[in-house]
Amino acid sequence: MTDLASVDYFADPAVAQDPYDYYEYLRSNGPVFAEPHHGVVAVTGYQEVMAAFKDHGSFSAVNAIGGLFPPLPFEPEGDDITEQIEAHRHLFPIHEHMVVMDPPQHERARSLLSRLLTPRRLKENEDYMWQLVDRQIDRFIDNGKCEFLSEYAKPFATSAIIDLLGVPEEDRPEFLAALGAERPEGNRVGALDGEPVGLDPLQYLDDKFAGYLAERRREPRGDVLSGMATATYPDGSTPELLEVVKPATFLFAAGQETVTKLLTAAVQVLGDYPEYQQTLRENPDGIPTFIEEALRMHSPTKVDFRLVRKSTTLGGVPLKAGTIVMLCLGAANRDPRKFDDPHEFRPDRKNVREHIAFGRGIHTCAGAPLARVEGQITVRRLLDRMRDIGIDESAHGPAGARNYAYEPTFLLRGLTELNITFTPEKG
Amino acid sequence: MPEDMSGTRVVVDADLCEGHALCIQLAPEVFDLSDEEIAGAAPMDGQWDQGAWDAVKSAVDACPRQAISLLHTSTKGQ
Repeated sequence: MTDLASVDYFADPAVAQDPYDYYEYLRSNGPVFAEPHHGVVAVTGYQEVMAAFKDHGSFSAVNAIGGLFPPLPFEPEGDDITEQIEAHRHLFPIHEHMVVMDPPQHERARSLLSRLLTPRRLKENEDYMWQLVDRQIDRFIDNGKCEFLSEYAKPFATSAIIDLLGVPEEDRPEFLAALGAERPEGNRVGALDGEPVGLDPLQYLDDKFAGYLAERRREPRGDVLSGMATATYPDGSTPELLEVVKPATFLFAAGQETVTKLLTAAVQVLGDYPEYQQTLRENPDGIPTFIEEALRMHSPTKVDFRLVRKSTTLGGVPLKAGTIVMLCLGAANRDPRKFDDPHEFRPDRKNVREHIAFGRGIHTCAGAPLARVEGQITVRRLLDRMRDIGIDESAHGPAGARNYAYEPTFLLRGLTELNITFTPEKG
Repeated sequence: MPEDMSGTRVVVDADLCEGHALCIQLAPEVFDLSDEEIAGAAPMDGQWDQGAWDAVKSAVDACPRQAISLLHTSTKGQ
C-alpha cells in the first residue's frame, strides 16, 4: 500500500485515479490540515468547507481554479493582502470570469445570470429536453451497447446548452466541431504536470457569443442569451457587451464537462447497483434523490481553491494571509460527522440534498438547476427505454473487480470511458 | 429532546436568493417563491413542531447561496 503521507496530491497519478483513501488520510490529520508537499491547507470537513465558502471577507476566490498553479505573482506581506491581490488580479488565470472574482465585482457579474436557469424557467424547456434525450438514445439503442460518454453524455450536454442559450440552428454544426476533439490543446485544467491553465482558454468562444449578444440587444427573443443581453446591473446600468460575453462563454463551457461527469457517474451507479433500476422504474419520484446521492458520492469537482486574503482561523487552525486553501468537496461530501456511513450509496439518507458538489455561497454553481434536470431526465428515459443496464465486462471487468479509468487531474473526477450493455425495451 | 426554538426567526436574504428552490422542496410549509422567484419564509407563529424546524435546518444547509439564516432573538435567560 502506498504511504499516503508521501503522496503529492498535485502530481500523483494513482491518487488522481482514486482520491478517496488520500482524503481519509488528510481527514485523519484533522478537518483543516496543511499537506506537507506544498503547504496547501486541505479542508476535508463539511462544516469547515461551508464556513470558508461563507466567509468571502477572509477567503478570496482569485485562485479558485488553478490553486497553486501558477505560483502567486507576489510575495504576501502582512495580515491583509487585499491590495496585493487587486494589484495583481489581471495576472491570475481566467481573471475575467466570475468564478475567480470577489465581491463587489463578483456580485455585479453574477447578477447578469441571476434567475436565468431557475427550476421554474427550466420547467418550460422540459418537453424539448425530453425530445433531445430521446433523439440521442435513438442513435445507439438498437446496438444493445454504447460508450456512454461519447455516444450520449457529451453530445447531449452540448446540445442541451446550445439549445437553451439559443445558438442559431445554422451555426450548430460549427459550434459542435469547435467544442469537440479539435479543441486546440485538449483539457488542461487540473493537469498533473503543474502547468497552469492558460490565461483564458475560453477565448475562442467569446467572438461567437459577442455576435449573438449584440444581435439580441438589437432584437431580443425568448432565449437565455436574450435574457443576458438585456440584463442590467442592480443599479440599473447597462453592462458593456464584453461584460455579458464572459458570463455567457463561461456558462457554456463550465456546463459541458461537469454535466458529462455527473451523467456518467449516475449511469455507472445504475450499472454497478442494478437493484436501483427496477426501483426507480417503478417509482420515478425517487430519481431526484438518486441523482443527489450520485453527486455526493462522485462529486465531479473534487476541489475548489481559495486564497486567504486576511489572516483568520478555520476550524480552530490559524491561517496566515497568503495561504492557499484547498476546499475538498469530494471529501467534505464523505465527512462522517455529516453523513452516516459516508462511503455507502444511500439515496434514502435524510440529508441527501445537503451535499456540496455544486459548492455553496456566492460562487455556487449557477448551472446546478440545469445539471439536475439533465441528470433526472436522462435516468428517467434510459430506464424507460432499456432493461438490464449493465457494465460491459469486456471493457471494465467483472463486478467486484472493475477496471475503471478516470481523468488524470487533481481538480475533476470523471471516467474517461463508460461502456454499458442493455436490452432495448420494445415499443 | 426537542430544542427550544421560541424566539428564533427564519430570515432569507433576498439579495442572495437566486430561486434554486431547494428550501421549497425541503420545507414547503415554511418557504415559498415570490413571482420574482425569490424565496420567503412564512411568518412565525411560534407553533412549528420539531419536524418543521428540522426541515428548516436542512434548508439552511442545503441552500446553494447560503441565503437562509436562523436569527436567535430569544429574550429568555438574559
